[in-house]
Amino acid sequence: MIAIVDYGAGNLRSIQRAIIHGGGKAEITSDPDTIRQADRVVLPGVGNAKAAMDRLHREGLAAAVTDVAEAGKPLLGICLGMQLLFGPQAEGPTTGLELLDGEVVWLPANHKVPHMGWNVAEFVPGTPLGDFDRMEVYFVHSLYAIPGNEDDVAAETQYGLRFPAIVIHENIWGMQFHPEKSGEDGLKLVQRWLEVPS
Amino acid sequence: MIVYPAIDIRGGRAVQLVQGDYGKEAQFDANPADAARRWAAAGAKWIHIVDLDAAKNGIRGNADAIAAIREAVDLPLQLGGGLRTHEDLEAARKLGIDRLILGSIAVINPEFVEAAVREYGDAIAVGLDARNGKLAANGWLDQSDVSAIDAAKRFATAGVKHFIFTDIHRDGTFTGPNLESLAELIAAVDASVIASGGIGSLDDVNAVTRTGASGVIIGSALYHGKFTLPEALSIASEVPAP
Repeated sequence: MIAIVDYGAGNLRSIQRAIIHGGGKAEITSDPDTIRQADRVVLPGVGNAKAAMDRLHREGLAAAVTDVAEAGKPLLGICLGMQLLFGPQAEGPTTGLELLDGEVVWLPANHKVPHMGWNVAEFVPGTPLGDFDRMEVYFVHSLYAIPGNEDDVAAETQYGLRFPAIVIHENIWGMQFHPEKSGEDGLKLVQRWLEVPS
Repeated sequence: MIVYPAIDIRGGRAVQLVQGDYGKEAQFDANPADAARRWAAAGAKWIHIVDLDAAKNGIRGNADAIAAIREAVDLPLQLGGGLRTHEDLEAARKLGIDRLILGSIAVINPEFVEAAVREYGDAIAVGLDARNGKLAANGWLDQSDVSAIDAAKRFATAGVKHFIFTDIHRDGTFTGPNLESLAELIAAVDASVIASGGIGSLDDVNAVTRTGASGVIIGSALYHGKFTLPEALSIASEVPAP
């Protein structure tokens, strides 16, 4: 079973359907035990980092997601959910789950923020997604991650500066864009995550 | 430039109106979700949905049809038609709509637009349905005294980042968009402007692309087979998407 962590952060049906499309069985849940028992976990997210972290801690979800990641099960963070995988968060400020080395900062003000719309993700050779070249994917975000470990970057996007569109560190994946709103290519990426052994 | 294939919903079915006339209705894909799947398969990056019942009567009876579109495609969706209250906006967000288009309410109650922008930010778009430069409201049946450009400037100052400009005389008539008015609006506001109405040929798509519009909404021309969506996408891609 695949658990989609529900902490009041946006519409989760699209994500659930993208996973079902990929052949997975997905449950939207806010129960820490259900999350711990899942084979793999999706941490979605739209909204404010501090409010999200406060709620994840209050409901015992932060600990559950951390347990899943440390057990080596596949974890996928999407949008804010990807940013929360890192440590220091400029929004709040607050501290994320610290599952990945790095921090999250505001996009530069010289470009329209939020970065909202379709943009190109360019894949980095030599990662688990290195067989892809480029894809157009759908973004909505105002902050971006600076990974401490450059090898964690699996795809990059240009918007004022280059930032990671996808990070992969062992069992932990993060997508800054919304794969569930990125058409066929987005579904391909979800499919690939579903193929990561759990 | 983004091409937005349009799906107009009335009574739970996908329909196409000619020149906004509720008497002139042509029907193609009856099932809105089928229409959405068709556009997604043809390469659409966004889908534009209009709830015609809500625009005319303010009744939200098409929630199931909209939910079916959300279920059918993995693409961002924008919705217009009868979004007049905070409850409407909240309901649309819960249905998974990415961009909310405020039409009549923007003419009737501009303060509502300002409140909506404070709450939903970039997810808010304002639809400017003009006739002779003046805004129309209530499903195109009423005429206002508000100039479209003046209204757009006011909304842009309030933080609106997207406008959808429709020249009503040209909607569903294939006579070509009003490029002069479109260019004037694009020059007047620091926001993205999506052109709507009157697209009848690939030349029209090309002309809109060159105005600097961020997108174009195409309905009738696609449903009547004047050209295909991949053809329109190919022309629109000559100018990068914003």
